[in-house]
Amino acid sequence: MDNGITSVLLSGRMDVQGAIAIDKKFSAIAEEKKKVVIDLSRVTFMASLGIRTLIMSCKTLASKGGDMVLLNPQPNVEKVLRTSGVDTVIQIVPDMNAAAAIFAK
Amino acid sequence: MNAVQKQHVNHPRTWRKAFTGTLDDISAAAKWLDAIAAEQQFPEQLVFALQVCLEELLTNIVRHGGAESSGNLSDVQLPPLNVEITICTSAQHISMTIEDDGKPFDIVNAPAQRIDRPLDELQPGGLGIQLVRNFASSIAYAPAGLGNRVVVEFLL
Repeated sequence: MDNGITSVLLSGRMDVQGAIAIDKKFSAIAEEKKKVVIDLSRVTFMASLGIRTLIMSCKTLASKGGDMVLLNPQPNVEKVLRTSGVDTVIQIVPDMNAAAAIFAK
Repeated sequence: MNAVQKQHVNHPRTWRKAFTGTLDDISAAAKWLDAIAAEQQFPEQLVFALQVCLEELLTNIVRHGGAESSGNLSDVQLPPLNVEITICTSAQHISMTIEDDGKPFDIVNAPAQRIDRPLDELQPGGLGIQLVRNFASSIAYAPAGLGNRVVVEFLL
């Protein structure tokens, strides 16, 4: 996107197989980009290894002054994120305007 | 509970199936559970809670159950561990029992972790246990059956 924000659309299950499938791509994105929005609207399931992938990528981004935002998770997925406390280190937002506002700070 | 949701609890039923402690069988078990849930018309939130607990408990067995397990998914014990899953419905609850013949591991007394510190201080681990404790109504462990027996229950 021309505002310097990289949007990543995920779909399907972020279970153990899903986490393995995206791990390397997420590492590469975290190394190359600075402002990353993960669109979770099409993710139907999230487990701890999916969370681990998000956290590790966000750590990489943060270490070089970048940030990650999680966009519009489905209610069950959002419950997983909030139960595990992900929302305390990666902000969850309902739309792209809210995401852009966070990066503009 | 509405009439549709109540349909599956009128007649107690039990399903049991053997799996192995492999990544492929985590997926196979999830599909098996989905098929039962669809046939029995389990409510969506209950299915999600069952799936979270199934995924976390099986992932734990695959990553840590082997005598030489390192926690890495690329380092699964061969031959794989034996796993048996039993799902029971009754009028008040659904229970899911998972047995394995791996190292003894008492999930009830294992430390759980919630993310409660700054990002740069975070170490992965323990999140799965936290999720199981939150999504199940109760959790019990006993050194029984194949070796480890975990029973998670979900109230209707």
